[in-house]
Amino acid sequence: MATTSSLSAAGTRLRCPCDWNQSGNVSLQDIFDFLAAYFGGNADYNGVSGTTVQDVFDFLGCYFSRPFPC
Amino acid sequence: MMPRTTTQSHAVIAALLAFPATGLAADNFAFTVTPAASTVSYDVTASAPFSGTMQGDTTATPATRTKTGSFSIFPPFVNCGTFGPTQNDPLNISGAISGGGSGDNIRPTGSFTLSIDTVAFTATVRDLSLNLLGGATASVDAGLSNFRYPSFCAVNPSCAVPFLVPISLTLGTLDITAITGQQSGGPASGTLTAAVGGGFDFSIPATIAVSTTASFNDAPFPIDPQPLPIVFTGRIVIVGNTATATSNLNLRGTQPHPRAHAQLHPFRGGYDLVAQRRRHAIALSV
Repeated sequence: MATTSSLSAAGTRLRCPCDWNQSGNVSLQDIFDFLAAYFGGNADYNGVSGTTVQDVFDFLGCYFSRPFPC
Repeated sequence: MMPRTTTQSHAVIAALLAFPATGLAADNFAFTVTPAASTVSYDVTASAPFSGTMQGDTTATPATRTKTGSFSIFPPFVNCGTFGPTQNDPLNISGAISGGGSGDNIRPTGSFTLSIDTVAFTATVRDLSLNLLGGATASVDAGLSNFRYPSFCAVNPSCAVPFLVPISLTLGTLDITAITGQQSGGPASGTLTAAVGGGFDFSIPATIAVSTTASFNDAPFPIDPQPLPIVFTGRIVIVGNTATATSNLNLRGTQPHPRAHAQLHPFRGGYDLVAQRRRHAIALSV
């Protein structure tokens, strides 16, 4: 079996979810900015049920584990 | 709830400070194949040995019946003996199920993630997943080759058929409904070079598991996945937060093998086994 493929693909940039301030790197500043958003009620990190304490846990989980694409 | 002590707070802050700030080493893009701008051509040959039985089809009109004969050196070269009034014996057969064909202008679908590091000049592909037929069906002619059967006798039409040489029978089409490739072995890395005219060229050795989904005579024709080493080459051009990637990907594997003991539906039809324009109603079970 042989196949010859000419592929064209459209892509979008993946951002690290714990690069909260989208500076291009993950630093302590992201935590400060995230907490500021959290206390402002605007830190629905996980997209579930609005801003809850679970968002803090999930954000810190990302911050410490640095999953792809971080 | 116990109030957090100053020592505990300091420990938390120390942990945060101790964790290093990291720059995002690579630019990561999630890609989706654009079917309208992509094409696949295929050339498939498949062959697998089989053994089974051939028997007169008593549900046909007229109903053919069969029995094993013995070869004789004198015409008609087969001794049939007495044919019982309802006798219809299965005859052991063997050969190869084979098919082949080609097609083009198929629109593939798929996705992958490409990470490029323009400092280290490396590129990494993850989760490469392609459906090369993109929902289309590739149909190739299929049949039995090197078909061997014992000398036999038949009624309706009455015939004594000596086995002389293996023959071929066309049975229909092998319909291939999917040829998928899934990257295996985790992320794969290769080289990245700046391309003339903008963008970057990537070349990444990887392994994909190619799975073929096919049916023969309306029965599933299971084929084992095949790991194939590939070199995923192409060009990525980045514009802001979007990118386009183009790639030419050639897969060249060994012929697909049906899984052992694949059981196909019986074939029923009129077959001219002796090239005498006398068609026997035969049921083949392979």
